[in-house]
Amino acid sequence: MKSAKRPHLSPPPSSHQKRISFKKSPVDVNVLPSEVLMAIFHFLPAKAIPKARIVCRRWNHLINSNADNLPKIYIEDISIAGGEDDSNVLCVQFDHHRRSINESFEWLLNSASKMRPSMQALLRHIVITSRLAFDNCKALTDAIFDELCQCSASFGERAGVALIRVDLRKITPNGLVRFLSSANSLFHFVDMDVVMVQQTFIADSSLAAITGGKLQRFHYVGFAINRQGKKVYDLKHVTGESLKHFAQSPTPLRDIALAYSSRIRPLDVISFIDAWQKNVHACKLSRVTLCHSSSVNYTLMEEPLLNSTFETRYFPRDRKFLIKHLTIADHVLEISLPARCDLVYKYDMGV
Amino acid sequence: MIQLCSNDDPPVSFTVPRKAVELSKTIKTMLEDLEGFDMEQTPIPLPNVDAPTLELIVKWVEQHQDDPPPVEKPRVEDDDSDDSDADDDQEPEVVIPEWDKKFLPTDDEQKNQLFKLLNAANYLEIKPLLDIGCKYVADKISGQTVEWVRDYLNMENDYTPEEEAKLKEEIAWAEGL
Repeated sequence: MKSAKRPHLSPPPSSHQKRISFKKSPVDVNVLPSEVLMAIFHFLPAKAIPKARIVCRRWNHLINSNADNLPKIYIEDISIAGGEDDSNVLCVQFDHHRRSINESFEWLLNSASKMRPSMQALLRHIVITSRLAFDNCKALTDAIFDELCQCSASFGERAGVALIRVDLRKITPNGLVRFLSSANSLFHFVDMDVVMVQQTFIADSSLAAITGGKLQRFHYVGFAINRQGKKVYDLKHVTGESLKHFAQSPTPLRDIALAYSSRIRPLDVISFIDAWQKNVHACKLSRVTLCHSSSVNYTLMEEPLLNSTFETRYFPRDRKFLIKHLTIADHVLEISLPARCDLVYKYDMGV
Repeated sequence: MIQLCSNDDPPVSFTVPRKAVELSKTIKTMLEDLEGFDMEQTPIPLPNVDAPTLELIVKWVEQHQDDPPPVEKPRVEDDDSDDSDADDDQEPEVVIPEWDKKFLPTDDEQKNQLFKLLNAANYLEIKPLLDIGCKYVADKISGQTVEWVRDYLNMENDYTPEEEAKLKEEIAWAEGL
């Protein structure tokens, strides 16, 4: 440290150290304390707030750190839709009840990488009154899900998140479980319709998180067809455990679809049906679809549970079978077998 | 009557009716704390307020001393559990009265004075004055370009061009509103 000896002592600190100097001219508005600037921002129309962040660093910081106390833009429905070449299109529908504006606009985000900061910035300034939808998005990552959960203040009382035809290939199993477990307490609903996912990460743990939640619909097709027309993925980590979760789910799932889940055995299906009948909530299920669910041949007679809980007459006795398609819809269980395509077994599940 | 002293050297003092001066929460609290002392004889120094600003403050509180006290709406804390109308959770609209419109130092050369007034109103906790002042500034800058706002408020752009471009991109969605 330099010990510069000064011939003159500076005057003792006055008791009015907080005095703000207005001597310089012209005066910058930033001499004002933060609370006065905040009071000014408070009188700005909601849509002017995001723009005010560009004025200077201090304003940006003030607005970012106090965004929840500033006027917000009410938006009824906002959807981020996947465009071509990994781009995303943002569509905004204003809440007609709050603003008498009837307009929507589209804004093209040029690349997937730009979506993240935009979404964060977007959610900071708005209140969603109905729904945030990701429609056909390709760029979803764990980070986006995490961010979404941090922005729960931007969701109104009855607002939720919808994932429509979303490609989750960049989402990790942990990311999905984390999202679904926190989403349950943060959003009013989570609607998930995930198809065409070329990944097999989804596992029992993911499905357990799903069934504990506010999902209304669950649709997951975990397969893709390669150029030779061969199936290259399947839900190899999904076992009968998941069916058990579905059957015991405390929330009324409406629609479950799983395809190519080779580890779900007929026995699992039977215990699922059994548990399903005992669970009031599960009865609200309108449809369960398991396509191509069992790739292993089973002899039904070998399944001990069968005789006690399930009417074997609906299944072919003494025959090995492979489930091609299993549907429970409107209390009717339908099983079709690949051996006899014309043969469909029906079982009325009505109580 | 209460005496208020500016921070100038030498201080300039103003004599104000107690009722008017109590529009300032800061001074009101102070007077209540010093109950029993003869405050009529003790000038109150205001270290954050200079003479021209104090003159404006005194003018304003004298004009508004007979205003009905602002209705303090009890703040409902639970975030709109019912689907009440949007107007319910919005702050009451602040309207700048005619007298105040003329009173506010709004000319371009007086901008410094306006900022000083806001600062003093904040320090003295004169909420209605702070409100109309802030409302005035907010109305002035809303709908204007960023460059205009910087110019009007004498502010420096302290972003690098890259940072500014990035930020603009981030809020591009709001431009369409």
